[in-house]
Amino acid sequence: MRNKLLKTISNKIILDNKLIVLLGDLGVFQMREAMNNRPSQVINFGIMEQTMIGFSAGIAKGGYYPIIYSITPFLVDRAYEQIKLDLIYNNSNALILSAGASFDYSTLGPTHHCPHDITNLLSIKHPFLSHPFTKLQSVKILNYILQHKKQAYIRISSSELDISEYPNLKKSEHNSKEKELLIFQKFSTNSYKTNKLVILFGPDSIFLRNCNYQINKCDSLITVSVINELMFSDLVKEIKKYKEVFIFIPYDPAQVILKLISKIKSFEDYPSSILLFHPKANFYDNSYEKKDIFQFNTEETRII
Amino acid sequence: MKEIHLNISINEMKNLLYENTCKILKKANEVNAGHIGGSLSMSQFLLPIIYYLEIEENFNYRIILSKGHASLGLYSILDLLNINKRPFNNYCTKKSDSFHGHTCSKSFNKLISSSGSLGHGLPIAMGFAYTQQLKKSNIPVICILGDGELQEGTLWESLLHIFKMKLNIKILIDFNNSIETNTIKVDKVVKDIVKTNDFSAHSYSDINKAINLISFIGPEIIIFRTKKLANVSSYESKPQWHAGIPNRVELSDMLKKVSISLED
Repeated sequence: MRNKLLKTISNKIILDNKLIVLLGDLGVFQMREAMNNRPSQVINFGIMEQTMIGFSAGIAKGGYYPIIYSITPFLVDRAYEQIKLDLIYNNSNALILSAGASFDYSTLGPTHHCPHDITNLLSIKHPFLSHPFTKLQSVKILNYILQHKKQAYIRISSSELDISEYPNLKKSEHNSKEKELLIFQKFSTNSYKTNKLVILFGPDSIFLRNCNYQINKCDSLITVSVINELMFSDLVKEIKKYKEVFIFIPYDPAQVILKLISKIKSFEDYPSSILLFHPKANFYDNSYEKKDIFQFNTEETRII
Repeated sequence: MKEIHLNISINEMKNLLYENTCKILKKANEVNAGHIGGSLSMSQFLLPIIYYLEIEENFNYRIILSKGHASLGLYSILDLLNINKRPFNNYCTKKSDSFHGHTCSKSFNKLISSSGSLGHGLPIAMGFAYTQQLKKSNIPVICILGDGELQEGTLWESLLHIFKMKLNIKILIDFNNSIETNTIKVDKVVKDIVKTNDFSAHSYSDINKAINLISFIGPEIIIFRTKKLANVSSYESKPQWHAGIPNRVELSDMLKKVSISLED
């Protein structure tokens, strides 16, 4: 997914000279041709993430659109204050492209893990967070962001969801106000029952314990790829149609769940059960495989 | 290149500095807020510079107050020079239209961004200056830092890029030599790695030299030697006045002791 996105960006900067790519000494190999062709638009800024975010805020204030690329914790953790103040508080729009998701660099230890990026960014009112499920979807989301030059964050994962592995599920239509972009996709069985709904937040969800089992038993599956205000409103409407809801969030779910509950407001009708699956907050101080971290450390939290 | 200098006489500038000093002290007492120590040290060089850029020349530039806690100094200058009276009048009034205690970008159209957290201004200034370079524009970016703030790592990281990229940034350091931070001799370290201009904020000719440097294209670092609570004799250089608020008795005493030091 990351190579596809970097390749797309390399092509886009030729068409749009307002795009400036800043690399945190990562992606230099994939972007080398673009760096040679457009040296003023692709800068390997070096290993100074806080300064790089500040620099990007200045670029935005100067009428350009910065795209920042590095490993998730070095951007979201180390440069958190710069993201909060220089970008969001100061209305300086930038695209942060983070590699590593929760535990892509699982064997490198806690310094390279970042299972709390989404919740931390939501808590500082980041308006547009995304975790695409496929390469194709990631390019679609990227194109949308570059067209609108939004304040945006793409969480690149090394995993993808192959929906063809669940032949009982067929894509169903849902109305999104943002027609250009599917903030979530819905798949349903042919039975038209509304007993069980499974919701996945990003492709790493499938590694959480029970996820595959619940997908195979559900009536409908929703894959959430963009987290913004519109998604929360639309998703709550879907949740209220079902009796049992299983939510799989492969990162710290605090802010996502808080926002969902605040929008559900009433539990008088459906759903009668909401069960959340997410990884335990911990420092995984061993060389585990990514899927093992999720499998062995899935926590179940009952919401209702 | 033609030498430029302020047309306003030194005595007229001293009168402006006197008026500005009194305004800052009275406002802090009135609203029970403000960092008067840094506001007064910074005003010693910023008032003549803004006077030249705004009143005498209508110069095109951008500014960021990285030491955002000195916002009262900037707002007082904007009020005194009739550039924008709203931020000073509404400074920390605690009402819905008030301005908070750090710099807000809504206060002045030349400000690139709001500020307050130390170490943020120079990277933002650098990004903005980079876009000006891409546009082949000569608009300089003035970034005001405090000497204590120089301990922030982002500023040292920024210096690695600014001179290599030859960005049109003017870094003005309000070197008020705060007692709380002088265990680290940051001025010596800066001088070891990049070319700097070491000026006195109490010298009119040094301020004129700084204005010349602002009008040239390219990066410059200007260390302005100042004092906390500058020009308020017997109160100067005392760390408690970094963010200390004078009560009525102290204000009255301070106002009696305002004496502007500005030599040729």
